[in-house]
Parts: sequence; structure tokens; C-alpha cells
Amino acid sequence: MVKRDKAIDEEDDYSIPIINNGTEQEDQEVDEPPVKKQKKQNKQQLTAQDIQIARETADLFKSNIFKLQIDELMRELKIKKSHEDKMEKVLRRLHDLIKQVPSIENLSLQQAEQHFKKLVIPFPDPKPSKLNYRFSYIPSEDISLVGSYGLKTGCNQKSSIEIALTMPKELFQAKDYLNYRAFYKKAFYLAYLAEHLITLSKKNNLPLKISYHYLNGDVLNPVLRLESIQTENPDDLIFNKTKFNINLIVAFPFGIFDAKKLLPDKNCIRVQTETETESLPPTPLYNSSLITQSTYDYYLKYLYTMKRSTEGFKDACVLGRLWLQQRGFDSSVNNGGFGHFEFAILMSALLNGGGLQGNKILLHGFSSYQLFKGVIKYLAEIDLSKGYLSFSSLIGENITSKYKSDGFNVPTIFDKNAKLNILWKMTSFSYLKLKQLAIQNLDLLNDVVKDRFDAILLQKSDYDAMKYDIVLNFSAPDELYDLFGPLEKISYITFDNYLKNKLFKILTTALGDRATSIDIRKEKISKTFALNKRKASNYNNFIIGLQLNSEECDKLVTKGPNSEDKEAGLKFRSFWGSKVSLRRFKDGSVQHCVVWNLKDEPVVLTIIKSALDIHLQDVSQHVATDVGLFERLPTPLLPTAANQVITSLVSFTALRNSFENLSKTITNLKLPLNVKSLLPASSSLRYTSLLQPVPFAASNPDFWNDCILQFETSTRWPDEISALEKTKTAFLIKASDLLNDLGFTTFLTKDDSIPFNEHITLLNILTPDGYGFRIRVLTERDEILYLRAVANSEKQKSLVQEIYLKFNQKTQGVIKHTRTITQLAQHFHFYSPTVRFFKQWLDSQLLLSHFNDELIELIALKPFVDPAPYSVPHSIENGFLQILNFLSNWNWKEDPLILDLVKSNVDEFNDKLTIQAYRVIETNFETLRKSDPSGIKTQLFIGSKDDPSGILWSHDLTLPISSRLTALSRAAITLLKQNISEHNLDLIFTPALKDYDFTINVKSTDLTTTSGILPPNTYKNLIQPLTSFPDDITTRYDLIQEFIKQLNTKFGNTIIFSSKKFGANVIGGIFVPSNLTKKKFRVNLGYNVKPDTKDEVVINKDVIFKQIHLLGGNLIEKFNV
Amino acid sequence: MKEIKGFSILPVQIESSIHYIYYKKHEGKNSDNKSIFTFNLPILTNLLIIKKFYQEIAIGAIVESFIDSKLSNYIEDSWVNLSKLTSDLIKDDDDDDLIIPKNCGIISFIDSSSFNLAFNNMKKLNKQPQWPIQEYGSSYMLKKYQQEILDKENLINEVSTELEIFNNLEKESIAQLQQQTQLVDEDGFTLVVGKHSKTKAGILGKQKFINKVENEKKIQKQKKKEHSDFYKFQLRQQKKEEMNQLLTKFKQDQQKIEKMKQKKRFKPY
Repeated sequence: MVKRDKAIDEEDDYSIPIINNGTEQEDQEVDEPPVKKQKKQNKQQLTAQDIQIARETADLFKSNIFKLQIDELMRELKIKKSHEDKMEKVLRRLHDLIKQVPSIENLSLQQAEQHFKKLVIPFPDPKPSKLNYRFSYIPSEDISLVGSYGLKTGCNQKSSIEIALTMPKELFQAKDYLNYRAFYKKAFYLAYLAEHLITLSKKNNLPLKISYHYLNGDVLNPVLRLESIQTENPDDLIFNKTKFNINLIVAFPFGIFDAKKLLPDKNCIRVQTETETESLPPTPLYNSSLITQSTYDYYLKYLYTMKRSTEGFKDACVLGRLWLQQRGFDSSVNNGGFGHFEFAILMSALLNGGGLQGNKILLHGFSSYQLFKGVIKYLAEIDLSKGYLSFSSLIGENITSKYKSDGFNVPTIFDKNAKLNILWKMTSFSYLKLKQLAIQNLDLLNDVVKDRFDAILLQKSDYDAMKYDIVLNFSAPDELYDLFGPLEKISYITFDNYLKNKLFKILTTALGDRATSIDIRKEKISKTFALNKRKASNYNNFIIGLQLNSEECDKLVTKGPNSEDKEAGLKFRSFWGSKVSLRRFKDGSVQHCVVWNLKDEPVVLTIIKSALDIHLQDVSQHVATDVGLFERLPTPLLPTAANQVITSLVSFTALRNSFENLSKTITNLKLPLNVKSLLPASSSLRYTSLLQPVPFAASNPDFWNDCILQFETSTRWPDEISALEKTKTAFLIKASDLLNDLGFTTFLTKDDSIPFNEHITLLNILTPDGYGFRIRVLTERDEILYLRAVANSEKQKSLVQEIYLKFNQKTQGVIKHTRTITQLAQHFHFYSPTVRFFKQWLDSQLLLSHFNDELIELIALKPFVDPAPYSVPHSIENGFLQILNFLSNWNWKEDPLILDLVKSNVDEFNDKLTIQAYRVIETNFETLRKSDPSGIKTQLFIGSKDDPSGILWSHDLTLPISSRLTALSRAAITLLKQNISEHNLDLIFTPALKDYDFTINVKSTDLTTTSGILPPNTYKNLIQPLTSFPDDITTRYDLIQEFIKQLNTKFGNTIIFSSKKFGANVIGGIFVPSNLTKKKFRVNLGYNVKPDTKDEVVINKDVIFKQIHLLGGNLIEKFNV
Repeated sequence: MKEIKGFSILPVQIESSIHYIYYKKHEGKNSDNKSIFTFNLPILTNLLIIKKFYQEIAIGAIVESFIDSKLSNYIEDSWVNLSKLTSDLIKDDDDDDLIIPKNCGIISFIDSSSFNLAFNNMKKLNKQPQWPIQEYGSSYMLKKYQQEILDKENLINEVSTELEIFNNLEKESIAQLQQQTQLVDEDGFTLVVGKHSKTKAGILGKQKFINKVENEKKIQKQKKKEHSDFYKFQLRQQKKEEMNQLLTKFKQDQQKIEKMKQKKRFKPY
């Protein structure tokens, strides 16, 4: 066994339990007794034990369920006993091997280098050339297990085991903290150790692959990474199945250097400059790395004491680690510099205070959940950059931790005893990101309505394209290394750190309010490298992730300071250079500003490129992004299209204005009953139609905008459905005559959207400004009659219920939906383009026409009202991927989608769903699933305050279509996660036609311009807008759509037809499987059959195809079976 | 095969493919001994096509009428008469019987001799006749679009006549009902006319959660006014109930977790 820590060993019978000790084994036995036994016990013990647990959990945890979930999670994360045993053996053997490494002393640099034949000493940059001190290896007295495995807070998720070998004190001199001396000595020590371990491990049946590894990405801290090698020899000790690898750390003795000289504001790398030593910049990274490398053992003891005094500490550590890991955070420089260790230290500090007056933030009696939440809350609410947290890691003294509000503008948790800033590996942007995540998750933790366990802990949310609104890939050109002078080198240690910092400064200034978060990291980093290399190879690609403020990001002017503010003006000019101009604004102020020209890219991208070009020597050509790939929505045939940003709602607003005018006109009409209201009910009127509304574009499938007309209350509506419809028609005829006199073109059409109600008519109105509205009358009698029909329906109940749902969809349902979506679309600026893009994708896959628009809109709303664990998307790319991600993971057989249709989850909104309301919706779902457990009848359940039933928009969906939606989403997200490229996007927009039983290529007339779309490859400034309607508006309609409708009336019960709603050129058909088998002959079979055997018939596909052919006639180009 | 379950089989050719029509003499209450009931007629069959067909196979058999199933050109597979379901004014008329199954039709001949001629010829055919179907295509679709637009004059006439009929029916019915409510039967009861029951919740599940919550609040307020902690036994009772509630909730949660566990819901992904 690896040596236990003596101090602790002697203290009492508790030792750092490297291996499962007796008590835990007992635990396990209690956990998993034979099943029968447990059942008996349960009954007997119910009152005593369970009451205790129930009471505790209700108090200590958010709810019982959360506590139980945490318990299960802990069990899931627990390291397997067999793995622990295996590692115990490995560690023991390794310990023995290390002990066998012989000493070597007093080598000069040259001797040291020549000592190794194949190995190279991993000296940090700059590589030493001439030295007046010697290199030695003296066996370590102190080998201990450190890190989370040592603390027993490790989990089975990609873990490593850390062992620290402390170099003997006599190897160092007091001044070795200067100029890399200690690091050079360590590098030799490490290489020497590696050399011997190679041979020793081979001899002793512990086959290892040994390489150098920068611990936490710190180039000043190479360690040995030991991985198991699979061999055939049964005597060999092999541990690769445990998924563990071992980091063998060579550490400095604690307190060997004067800690005061290593404070973050001190300089420890003396470079020769013309100026005095005192004016050299501080070397915080160097200093902190040096201290860190001397404190592994020290902090383990500290954390271990905390763990012992606080029962929930261990589990809280695991929760914290998982939470961070799921979000891409860990202790390494490139992943934010905040991981398990930092989390545990912060938690410990907060157990000793942390408030402004040193008041305790966390108490020892807290449950793991309370501890975890307390830390998240602290991160969310306390600014550790402007101020800082000061604590002491001295054991036994109980020194209070205090928050101090005057800080250093770098994220700081300062340990007074070790003189170390625990957050030294964090950057200002990684800190901001962490804080943002903490704020978001605190909201989730406070959510009492919905169970957020999944989003908080189970889901991995580190996929860039969903984490950020725009992801830039910047490959830094070699020229930039010129900027990295000796002074920069000592402050930042690596070029990467320097450039990240520089980029952050430039981008923050350039983007201002446009971005809410800027994150920068290396795309790929090689931390592990072979023993024959001095350092790891370097990649120059940086990932810049931006989260945008949709309120600001598309503004075409960057406003600077007022013209009178000379100083600020100068600063602004020096940043933007010649791009700055002075402008007078409406309010009379004269301001410095930069005006951006709209290009085929988001404004922020233009700004970023300009700023980088100004401040980093024309590097914008090295910036790549895939954001442009998602700009696929058709350009409207409008003169304003040229200077329209993607979130622009101008064309929709024009339509809404036209609607408002019509509404006024109709309200004022002299009809036998007064008009109460005309309400909008179409996708274009709620900003969600795929095509933007363009005047006179009658070929647009969404050209006609449904509106609901309601009159003042009257008791005189007929009490029978067809007479009621006839009366409505009479009203519409009257209105039509009156409107014709006012310059509108009107006509009435028959409506078949509510089955079996054959007498519905709609009033179609073409306005002089080129829009189409279609008016449906709703009276207070309608619902009574439909419900009466349901009550009287007996055998036909389910069919009549469907009619009622259709009616509800077309009237009250769509009114509420339109009202809600309109509000939300105005609030979430990227909702409109995202939902339209999503519709475009569905249409490209021939799926859109199978869904109600409303259903699609609700699905697309998910990431906007409930984005956890991600955040509200501010780009089409992000929004679209989040929708796909949700759909691909949505197990609709078991889970309802319950949407809280409010603008924000912050409490001030009263119309948030209450727990009771949420429960009602859930119960509706449970009832539904009881009668239809595998979702054969109803698949998607989407409940909201507008529709607690959850099935209003999805009841008419079919199982194959729902399954296809899931399958296609999965395929698309998988492909895009591999690589977001033009090619892959084209691919997901290509319909998978081979999945159909047959396809029909149809001759489509070109309806591009008459649909209001700018034909591809035409110039935006040469637009000839449409100006009038044709005499017969039906000539503008898409004949293919009618063909499909006819196909559905004739063959819809045997074949599912799919085609595009916009510009259909192919129709796919799939036979309903249940109709392919032989059937007993009946006259109500309803589809085309041929005699088979005796009393049985079978579908006559051949002749069905012939009939389709005849029906389609000249519309059919090719029939592919 | 010539017959299946009492239906004769008539193979016809549609563009070189064989289509099978199943037919028999139309029987039942409206039977007039001169009609044929058919199943599986080709799409868009109308009187003209039927006439053409019989000219081909049985010259002299004069077709009088053809009744197509309303459902043959309808997306649904069975018919619902909403008028009848919403009002008892509409009497059971023959209209409903004419809703024969999808793709069925009744062909009536001018007299029984025409019928016999046609019926026998159909049976005697020794090669499959061509079905006189035409090609449709774009002009047909356009026509369909145009037909959606209703002729205003016709519509006005239709609306006014139908409303008149309805009004008369309604008047009659109200008068009748009035009489009934005034009648006192032997036991001294009068007829009470109530509203038709509504079943919205039955279809859409529970809807009015907001009211429910408010109601609960009201009830709670009322309860607060009473002293429920006056006697010691009340306190004890209360505590016990609370504990029980907590316990049931806990048990429920445990079950829920157990279910989730079975679905492997606790694996971080």
C-alpha cells in the first residue's frame, strides 16, 4: 500500500482510506441484501427508519425526490469495488518500484543531459543552457496518494489517480524559486524516475506506458502519466479495464521557499531589461505554479479534515465535480481552471465563513445537497473578481474566511497560509462563464415546479455549437508570436495564455453590450507527450465562443462617447482608428461612433474581424465560422431585403398593420349584429411563417391569413349546426358586400378543415395593399353544439371527439396560441428565424405538411422558454441545434413536454405555471398514457397554460410520423455534432427518399417569385416587387398541393403521402403496413383489393399505381417504385 | 375466381392492369330489383363513366342513376351526421342510408330488363373490358381550386331557403315542447327541459386548474378561522396526519425513483 500519511495515522484510528475499509464494506452489505430478506425487513421497519429518513430529507434536501435522486446518482458514480481492489494492488506494486530507484548526485547540466540515451529532460521554456548548480536524484521519503482519489471523492467518470513524490529538501537551495531553477531540478528528477520505472515496471510484471503529462495543462508542471498495457502474460498486473490512469507527480516540499516572495504580485523571473528589477512585471502564474507543486499533500490533509467534520462533504464534492464536468469545466488551464479541487477548497472556506463579516455561509450539519447548492449560490451571487475570498488552510486554528470587497480584478480565493490564489488558473472570462452558469443553475435549483435534476447533473452540456450563439475558429498565424516578448513571456508563461488574454480584451472592447459572454480556449491541446520530447506539440487553433445579447447584437451603429468627452473620445478613436465618425443623433447629441455595413454575415462578425485586423495585424482571414451556413431562409422579394438583418420582423409588421386596418374596418361595418373582435390566427401574423409575408405573393402556401370574427353576444344563433353555419354565411355575405364597396376584393370559399361539418364558409379578403385574410366566424353557440354532438355520439364517440378537437384548434386554440407566440416572438428575437428555419428543415424532409404549424412552433419554443442546461439561443444555429437535441432525446412515450410560456423564469411574472397547474398537466399525461401506454394513438404530449390537455395540436399525428421526426432529428444532430459544414447541412436538407415505398417526381411550376421569394443568384438591389393580383387568384396556387389532397382523399387510408409544402417536386408514399396483409373480404374495407384465396383479398398495388398515374396525368414526371 | 362471399367479381382493365369490381344485386329495404350494389369501383367513377361502361358491355341496358358513396372522395372512412347529433329537429331521413361504405356505389337501371341484361352480361364476360377512365392532371386540379370559390347568388339562395326550412322546423318543435312541459302526467310530474350535457373535460382532461387553486385557497382561509389546535388530541392528530402525508409522499417518491432506476435514468450522459 502506498504510504499513509503519518500525521493522520497517528491522530486516531482514521487513516486516509485509500482502499475500501471495513465500514464501507459493511455498508455495501446492507445495501444489497438478498431480495427476499429485504422485503420482510421493509415491512417491519417502515415506521421507525423510514419516518426518520422522510423527515430528514424533507428538511435537508429540496424534496424527497431530489434526495433520492442524489442517492441513486451516487450509487451510479461509485467506483466499482473490483476496480478499487485492482488499483490497490497496482498502487502497492508501484510504490515498491519507486522505492527501488537508486540515487544519483551532483550532475552538471551537460552530464544530466548526457545521462539519458532515449529520454529527454522535460525542461520548461527557456531551456537552460549554462547553469552553476547540480542535478540529483535522492529517493523520496514521502510518497502519498493525493487528489480526489486520495480524498475518496473520486467517481467512475474518466478519473485519474494522483500520487505525489515529494523531492527531498536537501536538493534545494533557498534561491531556487527564482528563474525556473526549481523547475529545472524537478524536470531532471522526473526524467530520471521515468527512466528507471521503464525497466523496473517491466521486470516486476506491471506493464506500463509512461509519458510526460502537463498536470492541469500547466507547462511548468510536467508529471509522469502511467497507463496500463494489455499483455498476454497472466502474471502481469493489468488495469486498463478500470479506466484509471495514474499521474505520478514530483512535488516540492511544503514551505521550502519563502512564501512571501511568491505572492501573486511578486516577480520571480528576472529578465534583463534596461529598467530596474523592481519595475519588472509580477509573475503570478509562475509563482502560483511553484506553490501549487508544493502543496498536494498539504491540501489533501486540509480537505480531509473538512471531510471528517462535515458528513455531506464527500457527496457534495462528487456533485460539484460532476456538475462542473458536465459543463466542460475542470482544473486545467484550458478548461476554465475550476474543477473538483477548487470546488472542494471553496466549500471548505465557506464552512469557515465567507460572508462579509466572516459569517458562515455553510454549516457542518448541511446535507450534500445544501452544501452543493450553497457553493453554487455563492458563485452566483458573490463577485470573486472585483472582491475576493480570503481563507486559511491551517488545520485546527479555525481561522475565519472573509469576503473582502476590494479585490484585484482577477478571480481570487486567497489562502493566507499557503499564500496561494486557488483560482490562479482561471481567466477573467472563464470566471464570468462560471458565474453565469452558477446563476443559471441557482435558478434551476430554486425551481419548485419542475424536476431539474436531469438538467443540473445528468445532461452533458459542453457542446460548443449549443453552448454559444456564435463559434469562431481562429488559427493564430505565426507572425503573432512576434508580439510575445520577454516581458509578456514572464507574465503569461505561454503564448496561449497571452493571446487568449489579448483576444479577450480586444473582443470585450469591440463588442461591448452586444455579447453577454466571451469564451476563448484552445481547440485542441496536447498535454501528454512522449518521453523523448522535451515539450508537447502545439496547435494554434483557438475557439472563441460568444453568447449574444439579442437586443444589441444586430445594431448597425456602435456608439462611442459624447463628442465633448475628450478623453474617452480619444480612447475610442485609438481603438477603432479611421472607422470612427462623428454623428448627430435624434436627441441632438453628437457622438463618436462606428457605422457598420451589412454584409452576408452577422454584424458581430464584421465587428470582430475589423477589431482583430486593427489590433492583431490583419488576421481576420484566419477567422472561420459556420454561422453563415445557417442563413438558408429564403430572401423575400422586397426592396428592403438588402439591408435586413436576420431577426428583422419588418415584413411581418407590415402584414400586422394591414390586419389592424382591416380589423378596424370590419368592426365599423354596419351588420345586424355588432362585431366584438377580429382576432389574428395565422402563422404569418405571429411571425412564424416559413416565408416572410410579401404583398401580392399569392403562391405562398401561407398567403391566406386566418382570422376569427366574433360578434356581440346573442341568444338567437340557431341551435343546430348546419343552420348555425348557414346563419354565419349570411353574415359573411353581408360583410362581403360591404367590404367590396370599400375597395376590398372578397369572395367566399367552402371550408373543409373541420371534418363532417360541410356547411362552413369563409370570407376571403384581398386588401388593396396586397395581403390576403380569411375570416371564420366563431359564436358562443359553436362549442355547445360540438360538445352536444360528443355527448350524443355513442358509438362514434372517438370520431366526434376528433371533430371537437379540430374545431377547438381552428378557433379558441389558435387564438390563444397566436396571442402567446406573438408575445414571445417579440421578446425572443431569434425565435422567429429559428422556428422558420426549423420548418424549412422539416419541409425539406417532406415532414412539415404532416404537422400542425402550431405544434412545430411549440416544439421550437422549447429552447427559448426552457433551455436548461444550455441558455436561450441567440442565433439560428444554436436554436436549431437545441431543438434537434431536444427532439432526439425526447422519449415521448414516457415524458410529456410541459412548457411554461412566459418570457422569463424570474419570479416577478405571475402567469408562470404553478405547481398545481403543472401537476394538472402531468396528471392529464398520466391518464392519457394509462389508456395508451406505448403511444400508438397519441405520441407527442405538449402541455402549457394555453392547452393543459397537451394533445390539442398533436392528437391527429400518427405513430410513423412521430417516430420519423425523432429518427430524423437524431440522424441530423449526430451528423452535425461530427462536423458542421456546408456539405453536412446540405445533407440534412436532402430528403431521404429511399425510405419510401415509392416516389413520384412531379412537374412543378416555378412559383418562386409569386411566392414572394427572391430567386437564388439574383441581386438584391434589382428586385422587381409584385404589384397586383391576377384576375383569377387560383392560377397562382400550387397544383401539386391539390394533387396531394386528392391523393389523400382517394388513397389516404392505405398510403401515407409526404411531400414538401413549399415548392414540392417529389411525393413519397408509404403503404400503411396493416393494410398490406391479407384480409377477409368485406365491403367496407375501403381500399382497392384483388381476390386472393377463397374468402380473402389483398391490396391491389399495381392498379392503385395506375390510378394515381391517371389522376396526376400531366403533373407526373416519373413514377419510381 | 368468380365469386367471393356472395359477391361476383368483375375484372376490368385500367391501363393494362387488372382492377376488380365486386358486385351483387342490390337488396335490402330500398331494394327495387333493378339495382346493382358494387364495391371497389375505380376512383372518380361517375354516372357518365358508368353509362359508357355499360354501352360497351351491355348495349341496351340503360342506366338510370348512380349513387356514389359520399366517402369515396372524403378523407375519413366513416360518416358522422353532425346535424343529427346536435339537434333532434332533423328527422331520420333516408339521407343517412345513402352513406354507403367507401368506394361502394349503387347502379340503378331504368327497368328490371335493363338490369337483367347488364347483370347477366357482366357475368358472361370472357375477357376483361377496359374501364372508361380518363386522365386528369393539372386542369382537374385547377378546377378543384376554382370550385372552392362559391358562387354568391347560389349561396344566397341556398342559405335563405335552408334557413327558412329550419326556422319552420324550429317553430313546430318549440310549440310541441311547450305543450309537453305544460302536461302533468299521472304521477304529477312535469317534463323538465335541461341543457345538453357538456363533456369538454372528458376530451381534453382537466382544464381549469386556476379556479381549482383559488378554490383551495378559499377553503384554506375558511379553515384558518376555526381553531384546530385547541385540544391536545387535535394537535396530536394533526402531527400524525402531517407525518402520514409526508410518509405517503415519500413512498410515492421512492416508487418513482424505482421506476426511473429501472429505466436507467441516473447515468450521466
